[in-house]
This record gives sequence, C-alpha cells and structure tokens, in this order.
Amino acid sequence: TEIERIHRRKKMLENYKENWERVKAEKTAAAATEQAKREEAARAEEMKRLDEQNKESERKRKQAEQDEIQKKIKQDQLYKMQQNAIYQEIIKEKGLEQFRDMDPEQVLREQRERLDKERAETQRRLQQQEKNFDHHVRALHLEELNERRAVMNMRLSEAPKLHDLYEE
Amino acid sequence: MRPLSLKGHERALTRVRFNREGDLTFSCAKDKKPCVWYTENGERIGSYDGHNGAVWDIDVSWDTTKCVTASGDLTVKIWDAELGNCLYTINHQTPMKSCGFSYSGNLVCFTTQKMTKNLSTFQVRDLRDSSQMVEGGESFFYSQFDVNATTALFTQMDDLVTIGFESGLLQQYDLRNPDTPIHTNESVHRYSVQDLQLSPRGDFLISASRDKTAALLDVNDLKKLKQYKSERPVNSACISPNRDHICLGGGEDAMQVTQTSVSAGHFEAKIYHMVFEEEFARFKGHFGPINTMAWHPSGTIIATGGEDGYIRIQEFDEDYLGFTYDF
Amino acid sequence: VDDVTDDVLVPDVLHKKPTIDEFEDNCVFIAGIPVVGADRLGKLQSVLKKVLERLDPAVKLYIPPSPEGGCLGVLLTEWADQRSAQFAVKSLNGYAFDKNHTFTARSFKDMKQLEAPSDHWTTPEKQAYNDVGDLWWWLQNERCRDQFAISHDKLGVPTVGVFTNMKGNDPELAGDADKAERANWTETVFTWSPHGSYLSTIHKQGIILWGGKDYARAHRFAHTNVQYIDFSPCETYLVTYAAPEESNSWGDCEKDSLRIWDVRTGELKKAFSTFELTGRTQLPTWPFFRWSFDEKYFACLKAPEKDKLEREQKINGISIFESEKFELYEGRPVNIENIKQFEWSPTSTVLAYYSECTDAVPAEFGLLQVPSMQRLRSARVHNVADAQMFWQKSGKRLAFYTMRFKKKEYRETGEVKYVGGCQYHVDIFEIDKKDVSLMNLPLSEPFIHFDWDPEGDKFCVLVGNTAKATPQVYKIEANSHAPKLVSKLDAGVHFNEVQFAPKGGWLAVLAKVSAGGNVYFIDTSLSEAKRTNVIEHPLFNKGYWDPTGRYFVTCSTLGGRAGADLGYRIFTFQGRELCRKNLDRLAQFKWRPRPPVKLSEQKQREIKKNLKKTAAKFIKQDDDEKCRASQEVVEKRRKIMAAFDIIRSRNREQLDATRDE
Repeated sequence: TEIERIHRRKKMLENYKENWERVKAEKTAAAATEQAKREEAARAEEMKRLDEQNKESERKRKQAEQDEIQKKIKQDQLYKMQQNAIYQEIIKEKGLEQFRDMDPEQVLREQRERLDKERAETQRRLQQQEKNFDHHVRALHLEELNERRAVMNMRLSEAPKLHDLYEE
Repeated sequence: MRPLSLKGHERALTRVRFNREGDLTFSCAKDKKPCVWYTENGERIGSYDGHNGAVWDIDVSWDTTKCVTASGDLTVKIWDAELGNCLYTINHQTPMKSCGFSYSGNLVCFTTQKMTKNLSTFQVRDLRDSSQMVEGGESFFYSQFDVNATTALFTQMDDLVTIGFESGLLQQYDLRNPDTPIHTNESVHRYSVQDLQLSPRGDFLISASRDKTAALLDVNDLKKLKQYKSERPVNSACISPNRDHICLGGGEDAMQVTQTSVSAGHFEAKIYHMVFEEEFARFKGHFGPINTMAWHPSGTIIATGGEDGYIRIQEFDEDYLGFTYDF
Repeated sequence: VDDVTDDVLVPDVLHKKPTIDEFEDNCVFIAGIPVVGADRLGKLQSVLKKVLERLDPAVKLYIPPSPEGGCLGVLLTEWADQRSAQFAVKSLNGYAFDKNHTFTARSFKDMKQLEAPSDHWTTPEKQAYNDVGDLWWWLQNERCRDQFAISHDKLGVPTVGVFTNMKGNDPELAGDADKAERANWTETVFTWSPHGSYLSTIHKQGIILWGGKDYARAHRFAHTNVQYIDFSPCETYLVTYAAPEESNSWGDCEKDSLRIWDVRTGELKKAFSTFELTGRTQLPTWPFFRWSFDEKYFACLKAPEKDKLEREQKINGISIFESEKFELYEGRPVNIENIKQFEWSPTSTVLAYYSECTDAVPAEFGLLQVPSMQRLRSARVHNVADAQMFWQKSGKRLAFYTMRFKKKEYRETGEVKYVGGCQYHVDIFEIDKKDVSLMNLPLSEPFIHFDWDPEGDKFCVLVGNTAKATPQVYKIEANSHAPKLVSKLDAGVHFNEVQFAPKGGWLAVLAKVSAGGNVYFIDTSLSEAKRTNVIEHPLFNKGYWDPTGRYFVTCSTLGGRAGADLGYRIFTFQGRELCRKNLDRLAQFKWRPRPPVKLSEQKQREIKKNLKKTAAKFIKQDDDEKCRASQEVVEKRRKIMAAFDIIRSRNREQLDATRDE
C-alpha cells in the first residue's frame, strides 16, 4: 500500500516529469516556430525593401539615361541649328556658349519672331521702294513735261506750213 | 458643323427649295426621286417615289402640305408633302420643264418643252377644280410658244405669271388674258434664261442667264433695274431676304471646261451687292457647275445644288454677317 | 516742182505719142527738170545736154514748151538704141540735178501703160490744215499717268477704248465717253504710233490716224483692203500693205501693194510691188521694212534669185533704201551670202546680220556700218542649227545665241536630224570697245530666251526646258572676258520669256500660255538678283511693261489658249496686283508709248537733289486723291441707293395695296 502509494507517487512524478518535459518541449517548439515566423517576416520585409530600392535605382538610371538622350537630342538639334544659316543671326547675337544652353523650342520661337519681323521689314522696304520709284518717275515727268510741250509746240507750228507746202 | 454636304441624289441636281419656315429642304435631280431633308442637320426624311424620268423642278406650297414636281416623264405630279403619296398626275405630250405653286397654293403652273410638232406651252391648273386634276384634264390657262419656255413662276398673288425663254426673252401674263403678255423684256438677256426667282418680299425678280449675267427686274413691268456680270454662264440666282445682297451660281458645263483645275471652271457661288452690282464674296464647294440655289428665310444660309450630285448647305460666317458697304 | 505728179504731164506726152514701137523703146521721158522761162531755156538746154551726153553722146533732146515759151519741167530724150535708153532710165531716175531738182526717168513704153487721167481731172482742192491739238496732251498731266488701249466686245460689239491707268483704282476712260471709246473703231486691229501721238485704225478704204484730246481724225491714208501697217521709229513715215487681189496677174498690175506715206502731210512717198521686192506673191514677214533708228534708211532682204532651172536660190543680200529719195542706196543691194536675218542697231546706222551656214561655209554674224558699208566686225561659227540676235537698247552691245550641232544627218523624208546632242552659246559683241570685242558664254542647258537690261550692264538668259526653266542674270564687268553670273534664282515651270523693264533694273520672267501662268518679278538692281514676288494668271498669253516701268500687265487675249478667261491684270513692278478686269473677246491691250525726251545732265542732278521735297508733294497729292476718291465713291453709292429706294418703296406700297384688296 505504501509501496503502492510510493509507486503511484513515483509514477505520478514521472508523469509529471514527462508532462513537464513535453510541455517544455512544446513550449520550445512554439517559441522556435514563432522565432522562425518573425525571421521570415523580417526577411520578406528586407526583400521588399531591396526590391523597391532596386526599382527606384533602376528608375533613376532610366531617367538619367532619358535625360541624357534628351540632352543629346537637344544638343544635336542645337548643333544642327548652329550649322543652319538662318540661325546664325541668333548665335552671333547671343554667342555660341549661350546658344548651346538654349532650348531648341525657344530658338525656333525666336527665329519665327525674327522671320515675322524680317517679313514686315521686307514689306516695308518694298513699299518704300515702290513709292521711291514712283516718285522718281513722277519727278522726272514734271521736267519732261516742259520739254515735250516745247517740242510739240514747235511741231504744231510747223505742221500747217508743212501741210501747205504739200498741198501747193 | 457647316457647310453640310448632302448626298442622296445619284444624278445632277436640278432644283433646291426651302419651305416657308426653312426647316425643310426640298430637292430634285436628274434621277427619279425628289427628296426632302432636315435643313438643320442634313438628314434625309424621305423621297417622293413615282416619277419615271429626270425631275426638273419641285415646289412646295406655303403651308408645306403639298409638293409639285415636273418631270421628263411627261407628267407633273402633286404630292402630299408629309406622307409622300401622289395626289394628282397631270399629263402632257412632251417633257415638263418647270412648275410652281401660286401664293395661295390653289393654282399650279408648269411649262412644257417644244418637241417636233408640239410647241412649248405654259399652263395653269386649279387644284380645287377636280375636272382639271384628272388624266386628260384641261388647263384653265394655256399659252403656247415656238421657243422653249424654260422657267416660270407666279409673280403676284394668284394673278400674274412671269416666263423665261430659251432665247433670253422674258414675258409677263395676266391669267385673265392668255392671248397677249402684259410685259415683255427682250433686251436684258442674250441667251437662255435658266432661272427666275422672286424676292422674298415680292418686289423684285431675279433672272439667271447663260449670257453670264443675272438681272434684277422690276416685278411690275419686267424692266431691268440691275445686272450682275459673272465670268461664266449663270444657272441660278437668288435674293437675300434681309440684306441688299444677291447670290448667283453656275459655271461652264464640265464638258466644256478644258482645264484640269476646278478653280478655272468657276464653280463658286458669288455674292453681289444687289444695288451696287459689285461682287464682294464667293464660296467654293462644288466640283461641277451649280445648277440651282435658294436663300434660306433666315438670310444666313444658302443651299446650292450642283451638277456633281451634291446639295450643299452653306451657313455664313461672321465676316459675311458683319460686312457692310460705306454709303 | 517736184510735187507735180506724172499724171499731170502725161496727157501732153500721150498726144505726141509716137506710133512705132521700136522708136518708143529708144525714148526716155524725164520729169523734174527746172521750170524756166523762155529767157533761160537755152541755157537749161545746154546744161541738160552736157549731163546727158555723158551717158551717150548720141542723145537727142526735146523740151516741150509751155504756152509762155518756157518749159514745163519735163524732157523727152531719144537714144541710139534700146540698151542705151534702158541704161539712161536706170542712171537718171533719182538723179539729183541740183539741190532742188531730182529727175524721174521712165521709158516711153512704161509711160504708155499709165492710164490717161479722166477728162474731168482737175487739180485736187487744197485741203485745209486739220489741227487736232496737242498730240501729247496726256503727258501734260502732272499726275504722270499712262494710258492704254484695249479692243474687246462690249455688249456684243467690237469696241476700242482708251483708258488711263489709275493706280489702286479701276482704269478710267481717257476722255469723253463718246470719244475715248467707240464701237467698231477699227475693222481689225488698232496700233499706237511709236511716240504715242496717234492711234491708228484699219478700214476697208485705208488707215486713219486719230489724235488729240478728242481722238479726232488727224490723217487719212487711202489703201483699199489694207492689212498691215507699220510706222517708222520716229513716226515720220507710215508703211501700209494690202495683198493684191488674186485675179491680178503678177507683175502686171501689182505695183503698189506696199506703200510708204509721209505721216504729217499724207503724201505717198513711194509705192512698191511686193513681187518685185520679194519674188513672191505675199510678204514673208511683217514689218517688212526695217528702219534705222534715225529713219534715214530702211531695208529688207533681197528677193531670192533663181537659177537656170527656175529654182530659188538662197538670199544673198540686203536692199537698203535711203528715205531722202526713197531709192535703193547707190542703186544696188548689199551682198551678203546666205543672209537669213538682220537687225538695225537702236542707236546708230549699224546693222547686225546673220548668215546661215552651209555644209561648207560657217555661219556668220556681222556688223555692217551704213552708209560706209564697212564690216565693223564679224564672227564665224560652224554647225549652227538655230540662232537669234538681240541688240541692247542702248546700242552698246549685241548678243547672238547659237545652237550648235555635232553632226547632221538627212533623213529619207528630207528632214534634218542632229546627232550627238547640241551645245548652246551666247556671244556678245561690245560695240563701244575698240575694234568691237567679242565674248562667249557657253550655256549648260538649252536656251529659251534672252533680254538685255536696256541701259545697264546686265542681261538675263533663260535656260532649261518646260519642266524646269532657270532665269540666269549675268553682269558684264569692265576688263573681264566673260560675263559674271550674279543670281541664284529659283527655277520654274513653263517659263518662256524674259522681259526687262524699259528703264532697267526690274525683270519679269513669264510662263505664257501655261495652266500655272506664273510671272516672277525680279529686282536686279542689287548686287544679287532677288525675286520679290510670284504671281499667277492662268493661261495669260501676253505680258507688257508700261512705258515708265512702274507697272506690268498680263493679258489673256483671243490669240491665247481656247477656254481661257479673257481679260487683263495690272501689277506694280514688284508684282503686287492692283487691278483685274475680265473682258469678253479681249483682242488687244497696248500701253500708249511715250515720246522719248532727254533731260540734260544738270536737270537730272537737280531733280535728284530736290527729290525729297518733290516726293513730299507727291505723297500729299496721293493722300488727297485717295480721300477724294473714297468720298466720291460714297457719294456715288448714296445716289444709286437713293434712286433704287424710290423704286423699292413704290413697289412695296403697290404690293401692300394689292394684298389688301
């Protein structure tokens, strides 16, 4: 009976121990799982961060590339414009350095304005030329008029005589 | 959205007209189907089916209840404008060239073409007299000529008519006396009168002629008041309802145009000051001569019908509406 | 005395007509000897005898006496034989006896062919002098406006009208409505005389010249069925031509189809037979006679001679006539083998000629001075297929264009074919240089047309083809052996003519009778020729500068392509359109020429100096006019509208009344 009790007790203890061990193991396992989960999350987080960082740098790279291309195009356009005779005027005025920094659009706009101005100027010049020539012809005419009158008067005075001579 | 180009006819246009309100446009062409359209958007409402030949003229009564058409199939037909069914058919031995309603809409006049033994005629029938409106019915006014009457219209109420001839002659008759014209003008046009239209107020007539002119005539005695010179034969002319303007159109027959360019054909409509006789605007659009034109009652739209088979509805711009002569 | 015509004298002669034909062959009738009284008859006889005996000592003289015992101014001569008589006719006709007397000599046989005048013949009534007033009246206008005449159908009737070009406004009739514009004024065409003094019209009976403010009839020249007319350069003479009727047998009746008149007196100076001049029954060209600038000479190509087989040979000379006597200079033509064409210098009595090349002989371009008949310079060119000559108006230079072939082949049909391509050249004689220098300009493309700047050192040559024609402006620089190209002008399509303005500087390049109808207006007064404008006038067929060079007109006339809109358009010298007119059946448009005047150097300097002041005056004049013109227009419109409104309101009242009924 005592023995039985001791045995029971021992068994109980063993059970207890066993139980404790199991609980302890279970606890450890749970903690490990938890840890693993946390680590996994952190890693995912990191991956995501890296990924975004990557994307961002890629975007930046592309942007830079694009900018570079744009710049090159601009430079190219400006270079072409620089070669073109019609823009020489602007270059001469602003200097090559400043011209290279200009926006081609702006150059175009400026050129258009200049053309308009030039056209108006041509128009004005032509009008002036038209007037000048007209005035010149008319001024000559005012003098020629007298000469012609003199010639005609002489001719008119001669004509009846000539006529009579023939009719005689 | 304007100008509108209306394509529905398969052949050259012969007449465009507006009804009194101007919301509807009536047209006929050398195909067999006269049409009616919404002026606003150029949508075709329907056609008047029944002719068997080129339709040379169409007119609509003042209340837009009836239409009359004259055709090369030797008939003039009166239609229910809304339903599109034929109410009466008038026969003749030769093709019908033009037709029109009187002021009241009770009388209808038409001209017939000269062919071999048959002389050209001008006739008037009364829609209210059923004996005149049956096959073989007789006209209450009948006059015949040995030169083709090309165009005719009522010029004063239901009493007076004016007729234009292929020789350039113009005559006015009182319906009470078919024997002698009350007025004649043989000097204003040297070639065929192609079109006659009344001013919206009824105080003037405008005639269009192949002699390259259009003329403004006094409605009371057919005396020439003004004459408008074009560089090409004039097929049609109309008077503005609210400005002192007239518009004319025409052009050399496509057959006779030797050049390739459209501009050389002068297919533009030209606007003149009615009183000063000066051209001040023109508008393009057709690829062939303009055969017919009408001024919209609002004064801001002109419809033209061309040899090219199109109707064009042209709305005027600010420039035109703001244009004035100093005087 | 010279003015007594043969007709007056013929009756006397015919009465004494010998009956034996042989005897007639030996007799020569001479008119134009001095008329003297009985007292001096003996002396005259001995002087005449002396002159005639130089030709043949066997001559017999008879001077028909006048009733008073003097002489009639005619002389009858009998010669040893027919040959001797013919020689006498040739030598004595046109012989200047003294300062006032020139002989007319005819063989008796020829005299017989003249018809006796009718019995009723009387000395013509003396015509009263017809004064039409100042012939240059339109140039007395301070506004310096030029005129032009047009012929067209007005209301279906052929009408000629004279208009004043009003810059910026419609041209105005240049005179009263019934005078400046007339229906059926001419039966065919009208012509301005070279100085613009007269408008000439052609009628069945002859020519009429109209002048003065009212275009009154100034002179008439009777020439039935006259077809062509031409004035001498200073409008002293008028040349008329009517083709003789076909029924006439040639050589018999046709004696006077070509006539030269004195414009001022109406005198018939000389009549020519077309057949005798050309060996043909119709004229080859018109104007037929080419006048020297001073009217001292006029010339035409000699009639082609015929060989034994009656085949026509190439023309080998120019007939140069003196207008003092209206006779062939020195009685014979100038020999130039194979001559094809000649042109008088515009400023001297030098003429340039072109002789065609044959297979053996090269073509020749030469300058002949008249009356010395000295060849100033000539150039020979081989293988010339085509050539044209262009004098500069200043007379300083002559250009000739040649198309030169490499090889020529004859086809079976007789046509000529050039093998291996052609080269095109322009050569230039510089008349004012010592010994007349010559420079050559090879063209890179086919030649189309050429024109000189009238006064300056430039010229324009149009090269290329219809699809691409380029006007090239060259400058001749002193001490340079080749003309220098001064322009970079765009090519155009269908260009076929270049025309410098009469005062130089401006150049029009024309694409006549083309669908595009372009005209380039080019300023050549700058160091580089520059195009100011391009205009379009579809199918226009003529273009002319006005006499001042301020305006240019393009016309589409009846002579152009069928279906074109007939009418004219006037532009400024820069190509700005000023006016546009469509006219039915427009047949002619001619600017009225201006009589030339030369202002002294001093005057010209003065004008230049005062130009600013004068210009201010002109500007004010123009402004005032513009103002007045617009006022006038408004006024006119008001009147028209008022008249129209009366009719309108009457009609409306009438209408309302009818409606109320």
